[in-house]
This record gives sequence, structure tokens and C-alpha cells, in this order.
Amino acid sequence: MSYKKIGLLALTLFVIPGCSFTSSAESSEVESEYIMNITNDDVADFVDSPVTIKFWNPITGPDAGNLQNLVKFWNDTYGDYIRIANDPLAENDHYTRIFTSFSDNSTADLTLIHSSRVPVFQRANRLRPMTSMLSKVGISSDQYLESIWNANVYGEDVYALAWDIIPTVFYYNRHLIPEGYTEEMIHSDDFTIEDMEEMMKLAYVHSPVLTKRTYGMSFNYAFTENPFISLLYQGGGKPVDESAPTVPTFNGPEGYAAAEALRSIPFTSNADGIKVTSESGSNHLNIFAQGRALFTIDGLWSTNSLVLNNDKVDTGVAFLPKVNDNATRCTYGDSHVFATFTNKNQSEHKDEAIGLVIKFLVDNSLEWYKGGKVAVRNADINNETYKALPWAFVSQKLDKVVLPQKLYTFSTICNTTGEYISKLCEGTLTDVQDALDKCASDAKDLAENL
Amino acid sequence: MIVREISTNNINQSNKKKGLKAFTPYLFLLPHLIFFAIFVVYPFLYGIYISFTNFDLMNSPKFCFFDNYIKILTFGSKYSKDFFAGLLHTFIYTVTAVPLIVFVPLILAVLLYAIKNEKLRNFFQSILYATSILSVSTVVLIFTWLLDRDNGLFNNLFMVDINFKGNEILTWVAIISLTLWSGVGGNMIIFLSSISSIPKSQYEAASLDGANAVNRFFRLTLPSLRFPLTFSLITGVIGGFNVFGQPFLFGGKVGSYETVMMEVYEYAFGSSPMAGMASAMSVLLGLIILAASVVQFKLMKEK
Repeated sequence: MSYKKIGLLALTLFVIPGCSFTSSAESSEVESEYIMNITNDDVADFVDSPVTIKFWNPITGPDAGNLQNLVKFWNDTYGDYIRIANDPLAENDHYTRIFTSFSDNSTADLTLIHSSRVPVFQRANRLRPMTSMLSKVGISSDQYLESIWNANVYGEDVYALAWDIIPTVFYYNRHLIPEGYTEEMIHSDDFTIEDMEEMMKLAYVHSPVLTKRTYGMSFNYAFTENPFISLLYQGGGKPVDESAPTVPTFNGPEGYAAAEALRSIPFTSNADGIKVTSESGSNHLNIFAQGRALFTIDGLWSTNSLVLNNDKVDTGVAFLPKVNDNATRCTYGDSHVFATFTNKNQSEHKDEAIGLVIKFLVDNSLEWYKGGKVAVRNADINNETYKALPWAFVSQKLDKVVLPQKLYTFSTICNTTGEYISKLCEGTLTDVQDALDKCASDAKDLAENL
Repeated sequence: MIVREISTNNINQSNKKKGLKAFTPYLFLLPHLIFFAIFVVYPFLYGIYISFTNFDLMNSPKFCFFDNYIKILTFGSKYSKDFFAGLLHTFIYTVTAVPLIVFVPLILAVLLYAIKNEKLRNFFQSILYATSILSVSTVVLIFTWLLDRDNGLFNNLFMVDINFKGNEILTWVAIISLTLWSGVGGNMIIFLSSISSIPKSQYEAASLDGANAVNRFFRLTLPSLRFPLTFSLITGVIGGFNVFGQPFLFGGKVGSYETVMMEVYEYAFGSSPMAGMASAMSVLLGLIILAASVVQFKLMKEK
């Protein structure tokens, strides 16, 4: 036997078992306390004809681990009969894949999408009603918050099942809170953008921690759409009116106040010598996570990296401040929803399996919420473990979380605002009303083409 | 009679052989033609067809005649603003990056050719070519790290605070720099091989006639490189107009770096896909590239 063959044999004997050993070691790390309300009888139908559920989702961030844990637990338990093929992609690519798969009807069996997208797909007859599938596994409206359940009901049918709410929030560094301010004030219903800006100035004056490369706010100019929509709702406005879905309404006085308030954050701060990042250049989350910023604005989905797994910064999370004294403090929040697209591989047998998988996932929503999500099931909202999560306070203020409008033009119209608000914040545009009017005109052009 | 039949048969057989012989080259070409038809001709024609529809990737395309083109060419519409802003950025990129991507490699090739030591020449040639084997995403990743405002090597090394993504001009400087850095090797190899094929006797004769290095370059080297130069310029312009990866991945201030291809991508696969509109933009861009290529080709042919 040549040395090459001996070498190959040695490699086979030592390396391959080594790989399997690593794999089993990893599997032992997965939590084994998940709820499994599915019995062997439920999966009996799949013993002779096992199925694989192709599961597409946009969960690639820090919360991906929570989903992977759930999928692994399921596959370890019932994977021989019903296997979940978890296939995540970054959000843009995820939707590109969905759209392109329509051409040959090869969409996944189960997909996680955003609630704001449901009206678009539902209108194009690409979504299948899930009413029967859900009722077979005992999932019903009475288990959910009414508003979140109804958000995905069209006529008599449920077209998507919400798994969470992901509101827009702001994070604060507890160590950098200036004298005279408390966390209670930050969470109070009276806390305004102006107060936030005052804090940034005071933090700069008093905090010895703030140096040249530390910021009052690590502001992401590329994430302005959701904060703008939130502030718009606070003033009583909304992006589009239900009676005329192609006509944007965000360029009224409420929109003006919202845009002006957002724009003032970088400008006021700069004027007072507090640097605002990022001018699309720096990673705002990294800067905050390194303890170099008093505030940052982002979605609750960043909780994992900013709050739970961040030893450097004692981080708090709160609703966006009020746009002005006359407004009501509330925030805009989209949600992840389970959806089943029409596809060439659908069958009753597979639908039965999809129902069981959804039941397992929602029964174990707590694991999912740990990744920075707000509960939507009544049982979870009152769960003690959930209540201990730093953002569980949102569940007590759900009346102040505004969900996407159930309109096919909503996401398109909202998306258009991002570009203009970013330009206002960056200083490329200076006339707020003119910018909003142009933005509304662009949004109308797009909406009319849908 | 029999003789006639035999001769007719022979003629038929000979004709058959001739026909078969004439057909044989096409058989060899067939595999390529099939792939060409499936992957080039069909998508090309389908793309043009789509541009006349309101295809949204969700519903079947419906014919809308020139509607998409009219919307793009209607001044003040969202589509017009996006297309022409993209075109302006694309044009800025093309007129600045393409000359650099052609003439910097040319100068490098001449300098390399001047190195007499073969080992040393090969060494520099390998170093300069090495960047060409990197993918766009890798190159952008390297430059993103180099030029990052807070943690980048550039700012920290030179103790400055420059935000390459916060200023339109600096963003384009960065994008063009990374394009040049990664694209210099390919053209340099083409030019170097062309220079190497110029007979040395011609250089010796020119030297004897009293031509200095500059004269030799402009009167001997440059005219001999007309074809590789034409090739590099035309492919450079086509590549320039189609630029996508570098600005898309590098990023910058909103509205300051989007090219036509990025707009096409956004319209085709954005939150509400408008593949028909995206195709119409592509067709218009294709016509512009075609016109630019024809003009370039004619100019190079004349001179």
C-alpha cells in the first residue's frame, strides 16, 4: 500500500469520526426544554412517507441562533418524518428569491415574511389561506392579540400568522445618562426628541467618557424610514389614507413635524459639538456596542447584540421619544409572519406537516422572543420568563405600537420616504416641505404603477 | 441506361457527401449555438419583450406598449429622476475610471517592459496582476476596511478623520480607486504581451535614428497597440456603463452613488418589483452603450 493510500485511510479513520463527534457535541448544547405538544400519533402519517418542509426566512442576524435552536430541536426529534430545511437569506435576497421563484412556482413550503408585505402578495393571489391548516393544529384567534391576528385576515380567511412584533426603538447607554436625568424620565410619556437632544448636550458637557471619537448619538442615516413613520403616527398622521391607497398623506403638517424632528438630531448635535455618526459610513451599532455613544436608533431586532450579548455597555431600550409636546408617544412596528405561498409542490399531506411545524414554532415562541421580539400570543405576554426580558415593557404598551396599514401600497409608499428623510438628515436636502412633497409625488408614481 | 443510372447514383451520393460535408461545421458549432440561443439570444429578446409590459414578477406580463419608455422619458417623473440620476453617476464613473483603467496599465506595461532582468520583471508582473484574481466583493471588503471612518487603516495611519462614504466626491474616489486597484492587472498583461510582440529591431532602428524614449513610445509603441487599446477602451466603456458591484457593495450617501444598473436592480427586485420598467431602463442603457461603442470603434478605426 502506498504512503498516499495509508495517509488517506488515516484521514478517513480520524478526521471523519472527529467531525461526527463535533456534531454530536454541538447538538448537546441545544436547549432541551422546548415544548413539544406534538405526539407520535400526529406524525404517524409521515412514517411511511416522510416530508421535507422547505423553510425560507430572512433571519440572518444575531437572532438567527434562536431560530436555528428551534429547527435543530425539531429535526432531532421528528426529523426522520418531517424535516425542516431551514434556508435563511438576507432580507433583500430573501424577497428577491420569493419573487423570482414565482416564475416556475417553486416557492418554499413555509416562508417567514414581514406583515407589511402580506397585502402585496395577497392581492396578487400568491398566498394560500392558512385558516384550515391552523385550525387543525388548534391555533385560533382567541390565543392572539386581536389587532395582530386581524392584521392578516382577508374576508373570512387567515393569510398569515404573526410570530412577533418588531418595533422601532432607541437604545441608551446607562453609564452615559447625564446628571438630572433618570431612566424613568426616558420611559415617561412626556419624553421628547428635544429632551433627547438636551441629554446629548449634557452628556457631552459632564461625561468624562465622551472623547473625540465618542458620540451623543450613533445615528444611522440609512435607517430613517421607520423612525419617520413612527414620529408621523405620533403626531396623528399616517403614510397613506385607506380611501385613496395610491395617494400618500405623509406630506402634511404631521409629516413636516416628524421630518423636522428627525433632521434636527444630527444638526442640533453637530452644532453643539457632539458628533453624529454615521454618515452612511460607520456602523452605528458597533459604535454604540463599544460604549462610544449615548443613544442609537434601531429596530428591536438589534437587542441581541446591543443588550443581551454586550458586556461593555449597560444598555437600556425605550420607545422613540415624542416628536413634540402635543404628540402621543407611540412607535411603528412591523412583524414576522408565517405564510404559505402557492407552489407546485403543495399537497394536503405536506400542509398537515407544515401545520405541525408552525404549532411547534409558536408553542416555543419564547426562544424566538429572546432574540429581540415582542410577544403576540396572550399566553406568552403573561409568561414570567418573557416578562423578565428587558423589552417586555412593550407588551404593556401594545396600544402604542402601530402596525402596518393593510394596504398593498403601504410598503412601497413607506419605502419611498427613506431616501428623502436620509437626504434631509445628511443635509443634501434642506427644504423639508419641498422634500416631502417631492417624495409624495415619487411615491404616488410608484403606487399608481402597482 | 444502366450507365446513366450508375452515374446518377454517383452524383446523388457525391451530392449527399457534399451536403454532409457542408453541414459538418455547423454540427461542431451546434453545442455552442444551443447554449448561445438559450442563455444569450432568448434572454435578450425576452428582456426587450418584457420592457413593453407591466411585468411585476407576481402576475403574468401584460402588454403596455411604450408606457414604460414614456414614463422614463417624462421629465419630473420618479422613473425619469432615478434613471437620469443613475445615468449621470454611471457617466461620471465611466469617463473617470475607463481612461485610468486603460492608461495606467499601459504605463505599467511600458515600465515593466523596460526592466531588463526577467526575474524582476516577472516578480512585479505577478504582484501587479495578483489583485485581478480577487472578486469584486473581496476588493470592496478590503477597501471598506481600509477606508472605514472609525476603524479604518487610512484614517488611523494618517491621523485624519475622513468619511469616504459621507461625501459624494470621496465616495467616487474610493470606488474608482478600488476599481483601478483590482482592474489594472488584466489590461497590463494584454499591453505587455502586445509590446513584447513588437520586433526589437524596430526599437533598435528608431534608437539609431535618434529617437528618445518618449518618441519611441508615441511613434512606435502606441501605434502598435491600436488593437489592444481599442479592445480595452470598448470593453472598459461597456463595463463602465454596466458598473454595479463596486458602488452597490461600497455604498455611500443616499442618492449620491446609485448607477443605472443599481436602479435596474432596485426596480426589478425592490419592495414592489417592476420588472417591465427595469427592462425598459436596461434597453435604454443598452442603446447608449451601443452608440458609445460604435462611436469609439469608428474613431479608433479612423486614427
